Amino acid sequence: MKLPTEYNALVGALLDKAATVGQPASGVFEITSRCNLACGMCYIRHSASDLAAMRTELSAMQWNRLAREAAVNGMLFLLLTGGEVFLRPDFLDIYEQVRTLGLNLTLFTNATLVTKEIADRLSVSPPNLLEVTLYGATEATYEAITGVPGSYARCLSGIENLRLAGVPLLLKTTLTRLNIGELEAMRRLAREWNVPFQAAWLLTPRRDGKDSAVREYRLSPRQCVELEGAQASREPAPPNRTTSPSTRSVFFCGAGKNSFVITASGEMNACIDLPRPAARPLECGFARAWDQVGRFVDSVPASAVCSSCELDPVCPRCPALSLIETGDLMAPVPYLCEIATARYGPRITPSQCT
Amino acid sequence: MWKAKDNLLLREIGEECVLVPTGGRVLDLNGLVTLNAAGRCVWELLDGHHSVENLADALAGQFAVSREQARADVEEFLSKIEPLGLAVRDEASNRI
Ligand code: SF4
Ligand code: SF4
Repeated sequence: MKLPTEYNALVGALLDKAATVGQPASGVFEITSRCNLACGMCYIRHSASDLAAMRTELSAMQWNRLAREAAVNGMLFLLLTGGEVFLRPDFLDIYEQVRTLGLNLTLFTNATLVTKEIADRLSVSPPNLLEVTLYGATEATYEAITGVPGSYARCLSGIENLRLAGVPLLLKTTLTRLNIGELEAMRRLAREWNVPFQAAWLLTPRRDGKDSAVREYRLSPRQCVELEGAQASREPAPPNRTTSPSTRSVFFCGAGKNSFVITASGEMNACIDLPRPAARPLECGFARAWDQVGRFVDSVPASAVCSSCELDPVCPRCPALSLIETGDLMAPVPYLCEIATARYGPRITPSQCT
Repeated sequence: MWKAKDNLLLREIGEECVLVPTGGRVLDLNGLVTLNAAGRCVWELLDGHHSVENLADALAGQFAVSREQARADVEEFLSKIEPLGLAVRDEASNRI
């Protein structure tokens, strides 16, 4: 089969091939769950000074060992994310070690801690892509979301440092009710800076089950679907079962088939939104942990309600979203039912409503 | 003589081969280079000690193609990877 030449399509095709042989080709390392910002809608956030969270974090040596073992087992794409990775004073040491392994590397950051020195050091051997999240195009909106005075100016300065150092950047935003009005202004900023721009808006509650303000922040299902329509001409469609690779599993993505996540405390899970099966690669070895993740994904049964729902082909629900939203891997998710209804038009009612 | 740039590693994903950087500013943003079986065969010999003729011999030996076709394929491959900065003509080893 001839491989596509467009980058995202090529990555997708390679990951599909990895899934067919169960290769853990794509990994996410959550280097810390702590962050210096305090966005109300964040699914992971612990404060920068959270000692309990800090104590459970893996050391640089442990991350490097995991990265090496993952690469030996077939990891080719790696995302280093947080929390905020630059809160770790040893983050660049971790990064520079991992860089030597022959990986396609992406970093996520809010850029507020990126000094000129950090940007210059990164630029010696830059990641394939560094993605910066921008929460608004004005100080008032940005800081209404992040809750930290001065953070907007620090973010702009971090972006400037990264641009000047020539680090490949992508600017992205998480859209909420507070900043949706600044979408165009953020897009303009990205154009001025000559960096690509992406927006996302499917917000999930906190992964640890603690109280989350996500419901006050997220857009209405109607707004989500309008944004999908507006975005369709600019960016790829959001995942749904009609366009994604079909697998026998009830997951329609690569979770546990070609991808995995390792949390700040060293647990290996199927996806960022799914804290299962919490395998311990540092204790049992990478290959056995990956095997546990695969067996977990295969063991999740289909949702009786959703599999008989006519909206299923256009619904973004998956077991991870069911779990994080409802505590049950198989339960329908009312917010997603509304999005599916809005995607399809009002012709069909979700099963759970009938 | 041709030599692959340092800081590049050949990795496998499924049955495909991908070149990935191990440091430095090697590949551009969103750069991903895949090699087919013939590309891989040539790539693995880009050590500064093989001429285009040697590469064509290896290719013809491993795949069912004529010597002329193999030479044309090698030249086409090198002409694609040179501008990407993935391999260089190694003049030093040429003199040996
Ligand atoms: S949220 Fe669901 S669809 Fe998305 S990566 Fe996780 S398991 Fe896959
Ligand atoms: S619309 Fe609701 S009931 Fe239907 S598949 Fe989606 S989450 Fe399940």
